[in-house]
Amino acid sequence: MTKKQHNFSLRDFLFTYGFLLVLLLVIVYFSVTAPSFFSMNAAMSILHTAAPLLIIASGLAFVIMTKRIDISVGSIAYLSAAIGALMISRMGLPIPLAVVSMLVLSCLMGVLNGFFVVILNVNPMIATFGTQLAFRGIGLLLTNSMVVSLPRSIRFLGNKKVGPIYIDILFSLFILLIMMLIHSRTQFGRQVVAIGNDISIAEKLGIKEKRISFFAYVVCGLMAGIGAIIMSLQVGSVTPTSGTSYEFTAIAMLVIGGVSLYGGEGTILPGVLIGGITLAVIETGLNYIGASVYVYSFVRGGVIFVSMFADSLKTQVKPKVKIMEDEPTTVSNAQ
Amino acid sequence: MSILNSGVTQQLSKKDSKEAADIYWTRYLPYIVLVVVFAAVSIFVPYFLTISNLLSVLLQTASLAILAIGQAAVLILGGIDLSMPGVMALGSIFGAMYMRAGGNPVLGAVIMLLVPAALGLINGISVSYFGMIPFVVTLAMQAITIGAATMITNQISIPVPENFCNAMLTKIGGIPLPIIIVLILTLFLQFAVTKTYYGRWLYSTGTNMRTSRVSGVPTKKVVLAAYSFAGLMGGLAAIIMTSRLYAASPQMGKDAVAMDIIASAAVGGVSTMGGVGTAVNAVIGAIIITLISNVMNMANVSYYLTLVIKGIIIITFVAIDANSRKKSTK
Amino acid sequence: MTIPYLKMDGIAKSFPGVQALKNVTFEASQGEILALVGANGAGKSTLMNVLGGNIEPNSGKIYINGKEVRISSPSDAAANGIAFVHQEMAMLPTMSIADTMYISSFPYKHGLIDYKTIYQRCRVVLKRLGCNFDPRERIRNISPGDQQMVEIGRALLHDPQIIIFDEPTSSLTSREKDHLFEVIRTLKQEGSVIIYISHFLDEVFSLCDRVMVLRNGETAGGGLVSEYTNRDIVKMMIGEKEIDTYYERSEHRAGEEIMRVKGIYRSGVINDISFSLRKGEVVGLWGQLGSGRTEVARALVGLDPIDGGTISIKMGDQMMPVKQSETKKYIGMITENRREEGLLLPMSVCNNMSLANLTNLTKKKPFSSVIDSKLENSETDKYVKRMDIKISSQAQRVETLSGGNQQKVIIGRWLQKNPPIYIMDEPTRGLDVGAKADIRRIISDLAEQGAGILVISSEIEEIMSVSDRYLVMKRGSIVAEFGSNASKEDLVATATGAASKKE
Repeated sequence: MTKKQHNFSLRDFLFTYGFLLVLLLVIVYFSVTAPSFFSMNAAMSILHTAAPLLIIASGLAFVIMTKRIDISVGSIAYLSAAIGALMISRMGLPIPLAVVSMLVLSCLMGVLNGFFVVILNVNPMIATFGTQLAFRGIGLLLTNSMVVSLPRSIRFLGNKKVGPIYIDILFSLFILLIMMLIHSRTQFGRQVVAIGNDISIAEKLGIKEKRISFFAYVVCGLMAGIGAIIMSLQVGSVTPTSGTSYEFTAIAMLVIGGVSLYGGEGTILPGVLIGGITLAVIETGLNYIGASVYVYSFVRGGVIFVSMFADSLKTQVKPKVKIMEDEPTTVSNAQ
Repeated sequence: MSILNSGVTQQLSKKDSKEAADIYWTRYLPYIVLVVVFAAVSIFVPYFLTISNLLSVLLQTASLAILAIGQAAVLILGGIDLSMPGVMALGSIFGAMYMRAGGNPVLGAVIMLLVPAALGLINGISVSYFGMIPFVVTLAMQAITIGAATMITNQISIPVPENFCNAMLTKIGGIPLPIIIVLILTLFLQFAVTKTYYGRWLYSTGTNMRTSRVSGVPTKKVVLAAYSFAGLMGGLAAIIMTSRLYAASPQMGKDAVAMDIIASAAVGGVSTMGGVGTAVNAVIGAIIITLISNVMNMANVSYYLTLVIKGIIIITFVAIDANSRKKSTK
Repeated sequence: MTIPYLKMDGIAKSFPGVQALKNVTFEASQGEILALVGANGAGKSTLMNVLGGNIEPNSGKIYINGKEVRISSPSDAAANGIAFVHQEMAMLPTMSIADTMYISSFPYKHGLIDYKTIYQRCRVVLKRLGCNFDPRERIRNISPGDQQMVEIGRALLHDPQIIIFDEPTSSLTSREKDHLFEVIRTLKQEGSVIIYISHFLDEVFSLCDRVMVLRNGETAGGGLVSEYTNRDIVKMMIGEKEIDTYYERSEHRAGEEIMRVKGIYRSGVINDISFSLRKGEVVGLWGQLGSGRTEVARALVGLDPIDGGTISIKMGDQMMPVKQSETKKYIGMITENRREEGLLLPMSVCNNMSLANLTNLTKKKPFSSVIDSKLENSETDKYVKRMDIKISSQAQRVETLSGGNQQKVIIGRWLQKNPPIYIMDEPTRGLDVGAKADIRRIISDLAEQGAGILVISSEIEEIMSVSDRYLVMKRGSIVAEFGSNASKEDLVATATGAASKKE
């Protein structure tokens, strides 16, 4: 009775640990082509680069696990960072107040996305595409599309180290840990995965699908806001291009890390972390071998294409579920 | 379900059947919007209603209209193509490079047309035969093409020979060639989608892929064709855009262009849920969006506010469409 | 006998157009397994859905342990110790067994889900079912039979007193089925009330203590299983009255063979299906829901994949093997779910009816991709008239038509294309009597004109009124074949497994 289907296991193994394999290959490749690449320093700078995006990706993961999408995360990050920076350096408000407002604002942007997608039933892709441009537009309007610098008093935080480790690395690992717990050890997280498995089955099992999906967008917005804090601290300012194409990088991280765009699949730890590191390794590595900056977007597109392809193969492996009708059938009329 | 329904919809009154003959009330929305926007612009903008001004507005609209037509084909299938700007830019750059190296302008134009079509074909194969998700495929394609475009050009525009541009911008009977191209293309496609069985297959696949498959419609080929067509339209737009700018530049492919394309289709009445919309819808949408952009430009509205406004426009129209359709099908 | 633990008294329920339950009284006691049987549409599911809180009855009372209870939602049912094991399993393939069982409400400890307790309870419950699963195993890695155990395990989590099993064996292998029966017997010994809904009479005889038969929403009889024979129960299910006389059967003359199916199979779904179809003949593919009849039909036209076997179709003078993806060209397929797979709901009658035939409705040479709309309209008109479809105009949207007219639109689509072979899966489901009769007449006419037709229906009267020959399916295989002289009892008995002596 309890026998497992062994012919599935090898495939399962590859699909589960495939991303680790990819990471290893990438590291080996760059270590060979650029000897200085394989060093502690490089490792730290890789994690440092990945830190804000890891946080944003972990929030986006919740939305993607419900089989939806949010491509406005980069703009949410930009707008909340811009407002935070304006509050601190133009209005002179206390930093904690600015931080809290940033977080509240990013939540509100998530609420807006959730409203459009879950309540108004607007196609998630198009709704968040609209908000992506709208949020950035508002940010550019408020900042007059100028760079807003952060005061020196906090700027140092972005590149501060404890021992050899940047504190933002520790912070983002901490956030990932919390997100992992929410994903795997709370009812909300589990129900998000259930919705991604099949919305109608989830509803049949008594899950309040709309409420959970809505909340997933709010979480996604909040994480974009937290990521924005690290992002702006690292640079020391908020520039008009801060956060551009973050949605794309975050999706790439998730897909490489095994979070399926078909919903219901993937982990925050180690999945998102490894996906994030893989992508950061590729970019840092390209940097080490002296590739042009413009190569990044090209390579990132290729990477997402390939991992997406693997993802689609993976879903084709899944056994098909039979469709049965559950309506009362007619009584044969034979009077 | 079936029993419940058969009882209710048994009798059809005259009024019902009249209603049944047309599709959705939202069908008329784009025309109303066009008239309102046009009227508002003519009242508030001096010299708007001169022939030369109207022609210049239409010339501005041409490339957007062509892109929106391509997008419409994909949207009708319930898909989306976010890669149109990047694909267009890359096509334009390859063509321009070929001409800069001394190539024949006609062949240059052919390159501009075929490179995007080939990229569209890749999108189509990925979506139809590999079952990949349209927006990710095309988002990745956008990243790849825009990356390649900046890489190749180092972000510097490539000028194209003047004879190429002048040929494209010749006036026939006082009307610039691109406007004529759009006009002919629109008429031809309107005919194709409404009168040929290819058009019928497109709508049936977009309305219900499973029904179409059971009825023997080659649904995979239809999907493949639609994405390839979108690519091809990207190529045509590349030719017109390049000749208007006298240069090919990776700037042509920035993301905000995709917003204008999708906004045009959505405002023009192409449903993002599939099955509804024509070439005329796409062109009307493109005119509306161009008018709105122009007005905001003249009123000195900042570029950033226009982004916000367009974002709101897209969401509003898509929400109206989604909710009116839900009521009428269920 | 003492007072029954569960009593449903005078339950009535009507849906628009159908009286699904007419004053049904139902009793069940602790420590016994009660079989609830009846033909499709007899009202079994409706009755149990009333008990499970999914359907509110128009009248009637429910007593548990002598006390009247109100059950108006599934959670009311659960609170009264009623658990429902549904036929279609609600599984979450990417999640663990434990998650799937607890998904609607997890126990917490220190602000996090208390997996330690959950795993423990899962193990206990699953052990009670004789399973040694690791609760952390993912659902997609276990077999359908094991998933069924998880489904039952979920029902047992809240220690129910009354457990309803709705067709629990339809996706199980025979070994898994034996195991399930053991489990159910154990539950019975532990004093639960077990209600077992089944199509299969052999299961009823090997498992159940008492039987209750429903027919057309009424109690048709019941009592101790040991007091009945198979035939008795079959009689109760289909009624004494010979209804055949009501429907006029038309004999068709079968001509030459036009389709030959040889050994098609798909592992776990259908096994070794072979049969042939001749011109001018209507073959009834009869079997219970879940017997694989729909899957065979879909496999024949390439809608579901097959693992092997050949399909040959007559072309010219010869039978030619045809690729599965090509068979659609020769077969008109009418699927069972017309809204999802039959119609383009928001599109017009005309567009719906010409969909399969578009390439033949074009203009002459240089415009050979342009649809000749005059021809399209006249063709549509021809079949609208021929089938008497009630429409206000050809431009009317199909979603505004009644079910019967919608179904006729689908049939009309194929008549326009005029393929040599038709497959009709539940062609009259959900239609009123008049529309049913119309569609049966159309089937007869088609056969008269030389088409080969395979018909699937859940209604025995219907399949008997149109078929010249019968193939009976059970558990994915064709188990018997009958000629036109087959009786109703023959068909019901073979499909339910009651006829053990005959082949």
